[in-house]
Amino acid sequence: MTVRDLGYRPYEGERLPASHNSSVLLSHGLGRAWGSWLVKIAAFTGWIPPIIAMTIAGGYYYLTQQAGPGVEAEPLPAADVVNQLLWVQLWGFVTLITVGAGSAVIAEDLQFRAFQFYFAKPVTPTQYLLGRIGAVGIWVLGMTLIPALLLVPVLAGTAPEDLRLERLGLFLPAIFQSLIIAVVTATASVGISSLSKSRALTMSAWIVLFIVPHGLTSIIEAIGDWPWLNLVSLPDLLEVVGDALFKVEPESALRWYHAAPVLVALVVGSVVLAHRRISQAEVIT
Amino acid sequence: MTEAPSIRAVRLSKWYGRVTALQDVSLHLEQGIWGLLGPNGSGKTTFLRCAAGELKPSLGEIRVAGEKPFSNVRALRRIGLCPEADALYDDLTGLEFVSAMAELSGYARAEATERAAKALDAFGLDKARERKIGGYSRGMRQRTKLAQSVVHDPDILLLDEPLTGTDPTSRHVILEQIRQRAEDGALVLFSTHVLHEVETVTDQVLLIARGQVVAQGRVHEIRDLLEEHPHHIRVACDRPRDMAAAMMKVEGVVGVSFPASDSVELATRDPDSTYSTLAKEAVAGQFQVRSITSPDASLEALFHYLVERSSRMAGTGADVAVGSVMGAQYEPKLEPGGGAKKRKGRAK
Repeated sequence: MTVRDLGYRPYEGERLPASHNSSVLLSHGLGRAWGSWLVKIAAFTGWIPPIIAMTIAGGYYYLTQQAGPGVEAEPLPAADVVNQLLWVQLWGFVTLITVGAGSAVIAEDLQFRAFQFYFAKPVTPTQYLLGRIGAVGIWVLGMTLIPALLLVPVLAGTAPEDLRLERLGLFLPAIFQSLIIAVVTATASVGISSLSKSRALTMSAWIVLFIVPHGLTSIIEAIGDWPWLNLVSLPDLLEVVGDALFKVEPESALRWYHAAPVLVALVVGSVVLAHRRISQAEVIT
Repeated sequence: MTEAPSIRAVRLSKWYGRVTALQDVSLHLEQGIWGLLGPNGSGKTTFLRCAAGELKPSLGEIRVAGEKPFSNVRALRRIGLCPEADALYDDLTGLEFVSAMAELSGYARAEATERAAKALDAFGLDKARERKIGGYSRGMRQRTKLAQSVVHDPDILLLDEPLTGTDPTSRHVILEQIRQRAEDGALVLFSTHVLHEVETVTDQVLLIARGQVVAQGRVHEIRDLLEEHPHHIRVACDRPRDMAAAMMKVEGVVGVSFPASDSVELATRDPDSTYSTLAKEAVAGQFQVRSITSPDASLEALFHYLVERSSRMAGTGADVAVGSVMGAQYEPKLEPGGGAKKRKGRAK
């Protein structure tokens, strides 16, 4: 006997493949992130630094034009400006987004036991994680990549003619550095969020992980020259990579090839941790 | 051809570390409404989650509509699960939540939203669907969970305590929907502690205790097969002790008790004869009988009896085979709790 004989009327329209679920979770995650007031603060105030940077670039250009033909002005260190902008965005706004959206996301689902809904649908833990990390990553990209992409043309437009092409070349490191920041911070914060059902705890843990090692290494570096402690500081590692990408003189003795393996290990470790925690929490074997 | 809705478990076992949640469960459920009854920690939720593809069996197998549900897109799209936990996002509206769940079942956004609205309407949430879930009452939250479980029109509905915390109005709406879905050809398996409501929608029950199926079938069939369980007749009359003395002489009456000062409860192995004699004694002894009832008629009595018996038999080995039916020729049939002797007697 078929199901139809019993009166059941199955849906005849198109059913999207199960892989579509990552994008559903992604858009759902974007919306949920917007529910955090920290994300709202970041979204509204995150434009201030790029506007200031663009104003400085424009002002500098205006002043050099006013100085007259006899005065040779030093060109603005454009790579450093973009690199610094990303540094400011990282500390000022990426932190807000990762605290508000990233470091609470799985904790909230654990608290609400929402996996029961997700995993009764054709959703795998991997798709779930991709959706969650992707949503946080997109918000982070919004705070890093878009400001950088706005600033680079302004810097190119206000540069002396012989430097314009070189400055347009800053697009590439800006994109790379923004992507690295997004992947690392989104993955690590979501990984931290899987550690407990308590949002307060996971958010605090993320803040501690982000800020404390940086503070400690700064103090120790001020006392003695021992750069290896920077390997435990996430912002410092990202700074080292950023300096290498923008080819600016690094402040630390660490090089990108020291930082990159640690960042890769952090990303992989966070994904494995989160996946394991999700599977254990609901015994999805 | 699409396979008819069914749930078939063969020697299904599930354990968490050293804790056994399900042990050697074999059963076959077909289209219709089934009540899943059992005390806390008996394995009801584990069974539902195995059927919903959320848990992988530790041993044995479970098939839903002929397919293993774990990580099986085709099977999962036919299953609707309403979990027990109040797992809802307070910052989403009912429509947002249910349409997200519909999207995860493979519908495009517009279709998902339309389906979510219909599902919420069906559960009486048409006016509240644009409101945040945080502002919903407990009954409304329960109905939202149910709406998400039916939003993709599954023909296998697994409902874990769907009536918990609901008011009479919500209960009526939920039970009506359960009935409607079953009439449309779905298999509805729902666990509950509100035993009375099971009887109002179905007499097909599955009793589970200590991770084992204690009985499966229709309430009256199960009751009839429990020969060793004395039938209870409660008589409210003016002289209960005299009535007890008179009835103790009747063959089949194995015990009396006095649940209240104005009533006597008789335990008998021969209900027909006892009822007949009772009427005669009432006339002969000029008793003023106010009522004659049978506490056994309720599912609750049966449930408690079977659970008690399962506890008594635990560890004796007698309960291990309960509910287990092996072999390819397995047919869905009544499997009351009991020892191997009984099962042997019925086996062909």
